[in-house]
Parts: sequence; C-alpha cells; structure tokens
Amino acid sequence: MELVLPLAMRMTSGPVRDAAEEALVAASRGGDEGAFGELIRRHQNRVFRLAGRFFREREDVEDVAQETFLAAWRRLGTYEARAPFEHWITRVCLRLCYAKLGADKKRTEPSTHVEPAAPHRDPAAAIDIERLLARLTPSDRFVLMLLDGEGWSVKEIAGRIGWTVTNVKVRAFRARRRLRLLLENDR
Amino acid sequence: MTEEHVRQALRERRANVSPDAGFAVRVLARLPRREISSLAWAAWHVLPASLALVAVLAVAVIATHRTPGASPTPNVTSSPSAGDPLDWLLQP
Repeated sequence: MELVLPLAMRMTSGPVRDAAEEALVAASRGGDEGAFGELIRRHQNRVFRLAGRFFREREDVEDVAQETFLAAWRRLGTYEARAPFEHWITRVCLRLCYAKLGADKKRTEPSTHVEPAAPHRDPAAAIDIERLLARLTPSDRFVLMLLDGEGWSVKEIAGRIGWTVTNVKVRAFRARRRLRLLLENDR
Repeated sequence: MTEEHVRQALRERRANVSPDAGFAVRVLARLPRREISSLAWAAWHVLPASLALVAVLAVAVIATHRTPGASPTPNVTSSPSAGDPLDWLLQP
C-alpha cells in the first residue's frame, strides 16, 4: 500500500516534526516501503554528515548510514514519537558509529597512513591529528568528536545518545585527560 | 600542538561524503521482508501444492481399497500339511 501524500508535503524537508513526517512514520510501521523511502530521503544528509565525523572512507560512511536506516526499519515499533524522528534516527546513527568504532579498533591497528578528506589549512597538522586520534580509545574519540567536532554540550550528548549526564561527564573528563597526556608526551 | 589546536582540527575534521541519488533505493533493497509477507507468499505458493498432493494421495488410497478381488496376503506360508510352524515338535 503506497502512502499518497501531496507533492508539497513530499517536497518538505528538514528536521522539524510535522504531520507529514508522522504520517510517513506511521505508514512505514505498517510496512509501506515507499513511505520509508521518503523518510530516508529526508534524513540521509544528516546521517551522512554525522557518520562523516567518525569515518573518513566513503564506504564506511555509507555502511553506517545504510545500517542506520535498516535498524530504524527493524525497530520502528520502539519509536514513541515523543521526540522528533530526527532525534531518534540521530540516536540510532550515533550508537552504530560508536559500535563500529569499537569493532574497527578490535579488528585493525590504527593506521599511520591518513588521508585528510576535508580541506585543512595545514595538511601536516591534519595528519598529526589523525595519528593522535588513532592513539585514543574509540570511546574517547567518540566523546571528543561530539564535544569538539559537533560542538554539543554534555547535556545534549546525553540526550541524543541516551546516556546519563554523569556518564557523559565522566567519559569527557577521561577523554580530555588522556588527550592532554598524549599531547604532553609528544612535546 | 595544543588542546586548542586539537579542538580546531576536530571542528574541521569531516569526510566530504554525501548520499548519492541511489542511496535510498539501495537501503530499500536491503529491507528484510516482513513475516506477514512471508506467510502470504507461503499461502499463495505452497498451500495449493499441498492441497493438490493431499488430493492425489486420497485418490490413490481410495483406488487401492476399491480394487476388486484384492485379498489380504497371508502372514505365513500356507500349505495343506503345515498349519502350525511348530508342528514338527509334536512329530515322533
């Protein structure tokens, strides 16, 4: 059963919770793949942008993004619609990024070869940063990316991932301490 | 390098990757089909075949029982002189 929405509603994009999005979620829950495809198109840029914070290779970013939407499809029944769908999909994506960071760390040793994807003012500094990040634990990297990369507060991180504020504070404190130690050792 | 340099670098660090036009299609192709769809598929494809098989077996069983002159096969070799397989024990 294909959900029929007016063209204007289909063209609407953005993270704002709206009736059209709620209708898309409800239809997706009922198994309407067309509606779910529309949800994907609405949120794919955000998911790619977020995954691109943690992974440099296109295939890794695409992999996490695909897994995010597949997990969303499987777990749509747990979405309670108290918060916008955007928040929920962000949480799913973040948790998958965190899991993949940990899995990649176990599978491979940090590579010394890095290719900065985003334009940096100083390529040498970018490579130094990559080497530094590779020496941090996945948990430290994850928290620092959200704090300094995304610019989120401790409270925002807690809310978006589903951790307690205390948990995030402890992780952030430890991550900063380890980063400081690494920087001091490198001097 | 200082902590401030690291923060600045983290702000700038991001893979320049965006979804292509086929991304949603690729995700949709990987969606697991729902159980209800599988049941419907099974009902549509397997049930008629099962019913046909049951019908054929029923016809075969009925045809066997209606064959004229059919008689049960005796369990022991029947001969005029051998009524009981242990008869030889009684012979002198």
